Amino acid sequence: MKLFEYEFPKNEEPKDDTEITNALLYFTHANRDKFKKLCKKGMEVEYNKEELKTANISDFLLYILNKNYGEDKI
Amino acid sequence: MEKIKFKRVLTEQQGHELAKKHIGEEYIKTLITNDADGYDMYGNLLFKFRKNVIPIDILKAGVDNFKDSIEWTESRGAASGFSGKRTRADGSISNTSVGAKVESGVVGFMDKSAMIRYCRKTAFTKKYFDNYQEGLPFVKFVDEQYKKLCPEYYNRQKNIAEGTNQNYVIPDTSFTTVTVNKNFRTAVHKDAGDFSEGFGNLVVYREGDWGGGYFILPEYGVGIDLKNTDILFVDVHKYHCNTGFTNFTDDCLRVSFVLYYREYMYKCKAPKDELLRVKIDQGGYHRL
Repeated sequence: MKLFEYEFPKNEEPKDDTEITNALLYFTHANRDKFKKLCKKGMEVEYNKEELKTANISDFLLYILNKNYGEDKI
Repeated sequence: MEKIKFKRVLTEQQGHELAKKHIGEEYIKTLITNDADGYDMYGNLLFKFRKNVIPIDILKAGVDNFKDSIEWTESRGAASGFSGKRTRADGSISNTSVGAKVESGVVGFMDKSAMIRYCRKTAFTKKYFDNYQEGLPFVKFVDEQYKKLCPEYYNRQKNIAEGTNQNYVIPDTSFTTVTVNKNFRTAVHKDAGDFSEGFGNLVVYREGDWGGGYFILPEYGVGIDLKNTDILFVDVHKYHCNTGFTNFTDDCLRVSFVLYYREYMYKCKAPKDELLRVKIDQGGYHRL
């Protein structure tokens, strides 16, 4: 193995048209802490151990809102 | 074509002391106005300058299509002549680093930063995608010249570009990003954030009958007079800057293009994976 490796194997991943954007939330400090605690508690209820590895607030909020108010509400 | 060796006229320390300063033509001992290759006394390439290389219609395609990327910004750091922490309206010091306000834009792609934590298209590329595409012949032309004139540097850069997720590479080139500057007299600085094994690619578009604006490598006392359709490949990891413009009236224009590969773009994941990463980094279960 060379000390400095200059060879970068060709990246053959297909093109992906995902565009990332964000939606900001505003809280008091107290409510931010409450929000995070409730999200964490909710994730533990809704997701299994494996799913918790990649669980995050963005997906969780969408999941909860969709589950309760979305068109595909169960 | 002339091959010229340049002795250092400033020590490293003297060069360093010039950083962030605007300097003038008194630092030019040799002004390059024709095709030339410049080397230091150890045989390291400092620059390759070629006149009348870029067809004017291709240059104009770059100018016309990329000009809307230009806006007033404080993000150009040392090149703007100042870099430090922002002072808030209440007098307190923010953690955000800023430079002086200059007119500049970014075309192509960016890696994650302290402010935006994912790899992405630049705002211009996203908003004016048709213009971005219309300007690509200009980028491809510069890329071809880079390959022809600086093959060792080019091959290393092309290799890393090919190893990068293609969502972040300007198609069929070794570049991820083009910085576009308008009437920007740069202070003495070294480029940062570009691929350290690559070489700087510079093109200038001018309108009006004005003088000055020479590109300088002050440590070597060399100035280069870049005019329309010229191209300069230069070691931008040495201190460099521009001299001031003379007889520069309101209808004068100087647009400079710097084409490069951003140093950490090879770490960028596919956009869908960048999205998952940023969602977990910023609001993942294990961070709550």
